Amino acid sequence: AQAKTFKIATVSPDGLGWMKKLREGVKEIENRTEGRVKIKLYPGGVQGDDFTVLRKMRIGQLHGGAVAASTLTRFYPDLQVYNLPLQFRTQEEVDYVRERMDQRIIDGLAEGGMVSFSLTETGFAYMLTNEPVADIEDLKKVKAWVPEGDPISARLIQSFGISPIPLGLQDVLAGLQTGLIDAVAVPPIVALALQWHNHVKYVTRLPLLYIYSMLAMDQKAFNSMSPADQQVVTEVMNRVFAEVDADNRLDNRKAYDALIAQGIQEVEPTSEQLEAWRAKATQSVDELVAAGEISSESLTILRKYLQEYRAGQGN
Amino acid sequence: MGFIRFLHRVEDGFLVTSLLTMLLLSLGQIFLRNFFDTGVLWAESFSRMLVLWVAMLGAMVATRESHHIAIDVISRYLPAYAERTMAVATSLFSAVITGLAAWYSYEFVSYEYLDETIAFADVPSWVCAAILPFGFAVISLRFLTNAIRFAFRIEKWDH
Amino acid sequence: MGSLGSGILALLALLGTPLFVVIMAAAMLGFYFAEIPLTVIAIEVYRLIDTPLLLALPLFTFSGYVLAESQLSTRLVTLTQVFLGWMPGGLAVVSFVTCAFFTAFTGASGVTIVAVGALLFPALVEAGYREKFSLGLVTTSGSLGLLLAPSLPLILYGVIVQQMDLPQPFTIQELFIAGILPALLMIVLLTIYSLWANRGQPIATREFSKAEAIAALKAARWELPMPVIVLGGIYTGFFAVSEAAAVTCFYVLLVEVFIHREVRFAELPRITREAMVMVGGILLILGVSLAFTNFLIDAEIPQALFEWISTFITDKLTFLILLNLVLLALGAILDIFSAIVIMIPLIVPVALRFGIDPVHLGIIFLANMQIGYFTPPIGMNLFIASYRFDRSITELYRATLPFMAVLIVALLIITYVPAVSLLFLDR
Ligand code: NA
Ligand code: NA
Repeated sequence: AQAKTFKIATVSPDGLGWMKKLREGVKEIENRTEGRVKIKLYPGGVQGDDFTVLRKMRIGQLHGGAVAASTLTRFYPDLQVYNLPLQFRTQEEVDYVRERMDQRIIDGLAEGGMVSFSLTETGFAYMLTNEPVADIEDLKKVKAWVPEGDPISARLIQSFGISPIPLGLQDVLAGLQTGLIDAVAVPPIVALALQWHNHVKYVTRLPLLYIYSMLAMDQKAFNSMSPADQQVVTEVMNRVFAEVDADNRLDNRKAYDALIAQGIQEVEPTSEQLEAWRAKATQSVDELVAAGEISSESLTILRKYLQEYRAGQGN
Repeated sequence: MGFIRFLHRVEDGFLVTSLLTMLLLSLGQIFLRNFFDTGVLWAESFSRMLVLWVAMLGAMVATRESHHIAIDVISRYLPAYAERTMAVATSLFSAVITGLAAWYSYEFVSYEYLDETIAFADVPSWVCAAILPFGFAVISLRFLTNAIRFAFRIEKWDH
Repeated sequence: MGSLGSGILALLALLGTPLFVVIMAAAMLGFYFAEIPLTVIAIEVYRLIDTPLLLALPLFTFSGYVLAESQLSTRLVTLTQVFLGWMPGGLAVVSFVTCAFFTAFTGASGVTIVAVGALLFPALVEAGYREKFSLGLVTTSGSLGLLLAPSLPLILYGVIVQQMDLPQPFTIQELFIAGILPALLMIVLLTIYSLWANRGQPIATREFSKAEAIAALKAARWELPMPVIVLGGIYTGFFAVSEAAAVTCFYVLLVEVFIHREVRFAELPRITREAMVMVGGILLILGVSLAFTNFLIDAEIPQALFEWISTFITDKLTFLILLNLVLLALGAILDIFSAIVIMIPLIVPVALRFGIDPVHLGIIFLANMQIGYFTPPIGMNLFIASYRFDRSITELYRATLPFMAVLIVALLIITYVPAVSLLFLDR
């Protein structure tokens, strides 16, 4: 077959560890397909944000993008099943469920026209605040920042009755410094990268929701490779992103520890307070199912695995 | 002619209203945050959309008034006849390029429509993007009438 | 075919085709030969919606138009003559410093020229500076504060380089400190040039008079607190940096329309319309530039350019010279955020090999970008000034060239004397 160049974009900056891994993977693919499959990478958001990348995939300028899962909702709404608030309690639960359920998401996306590879963890979003937040009622006392136009934060607002302080990303650091806002809900790794950790005092020990991303390729572009080449790409990309997934897990652990080592105090909700949080979350998840945003089938499967795991743990 | 003047008024009105809306949205956010500890989730997205609308509406009016930036270094040294020919040529060229932009913007908007993407709140993004084909089409038409005006030496002609 | 098309396009540009049409046609030509559907043009122009800092442009422009219709520039001239009358070049220095701070807070998106420059230009002329000089001053000052905290490009450079896991890490604070002396050096050199350029001009210097001082302060009592109100509002957390434009706008309307009554309420629709037509013209150029930039990025042309010059690099000195040349060119063509994101990961490893400190490199990079903003023929600030002051673009080329020469001298000093950036740092 003829040599073809595939263009893949991401908003993640160049020079990060995972980009190095991806570049090595790209080289391996080129070698093993004897130059038939070349991949060009466009990191740092130079091709636009996730939604722009999807637009460019539609017209064929780009062929793939490493994007946040939540931007692919329209290809398979049920991929949000991992993003539901307070479903997972520990990372072990995540591992147990993902081992059994990732393929369902990958298949669902394929049906919607998107080829995807190993899903990659961004991490649990935690509440980082300047006033201790243990009780769900405490949320009313803080001015919580939420990123605009982000479906996941919209969900948090809905679920827990947060009154939102919408701001552009560029205003958040200064906003935390001046007291314009005093709470953010992000994975520790993100807080560290954007230097927000220097301006918060507390972290609530409650994984609010799980955020993940993936490399998605346009199916037409993918199918233009020979089946043998497709297999090489799939194998290499699955391996690369499984490694990135594991690395991110490690980085998130380190980032959380770094927050604590820096003197940020952990706030631990009591079991009654936890019940209140979970009751609210369950209520909002049921509403989402009722509204048809996510199928009850996927939710049932998720809950089944969670119960299975918790039963095995003797909980 | 009266109807075209009216359309110009509407165009100007949209332009002025866009700025006013941006100002009120931003002041409103400050007010809500400081006195009610809350904010409107879609306010900034709406303002960003208005920036795009101001860009297109402003450019439409600028074309109407032949008020675009150009690097005009040759034509002033040309004889009047040649200058007019050049003005016709550049106007026609501009009409073609912006016409193409209108066509491809229309295609973009139709994709947004088919994909049912959302810009903010419940507003679909095709509605926001619709200003692109509309604006470029109007601009193209205005360049075309400019070309005709220059070619036939019509001094004043609303477009 | 491609070069024939480019040639025709260049000719049409020189014959007076609107610039946005020329840039858009260039982008179309590029994408056509790259076999990418031209729909991408619309996708890129639509990205105006998520370009940072743009939201402030319409509001600051409007404020600038309202202020320009008031008598503020006269009050400003009186004020500087009273307090800085003893100092030759007083108003020029005031202009440099004001522009630098304004840019540091709002970004170098051209806002400084329309908001502050529009006010300073008539003031400078009124104070006796030559028109061409004044025009050059306000155009070049539009990007002067890029090296000063909290400028967004400075922060972005820091964030990107920090994530690269370099052997010589640095903090954002170090970067902020490193920018101070170079920015000061630029202002000092520009001031020296201003004095020399206006040596024969009848710019009055005069004795300080207490009565005049009080009168001048009283006349400007409403406008003078404006920076304090805006900065105070930000530091107390009352509003965000990005909301400063709306607050300024509100305050300006309050003072000039309702307190001074120098701008009539009935005039506001006309002023708004004029301001927004200008904003539209500028934004459309920005939008189609995004498309053209995207063609360059898609074809990986900046990277190819850098690889090409890399083959000529044998030592630190040639690296720095070539770096300056490439960055000046890219600064004029690319938007600053794309330039940082694309070029920094390429340049930093090479620079480290030659023993250049990453903090110093950041300052060199941004100093180049700052000059790129008014590098002919397509530096963005030239277009903005052309629009705002209604001067031909060629007139602006001539007016800014001497200032560009001065800033290139500053750039050379900054590049080849690392101490200017690193003096106060323990590096
Ligand atoms: Na760009
Ligand atoms: Na630039």
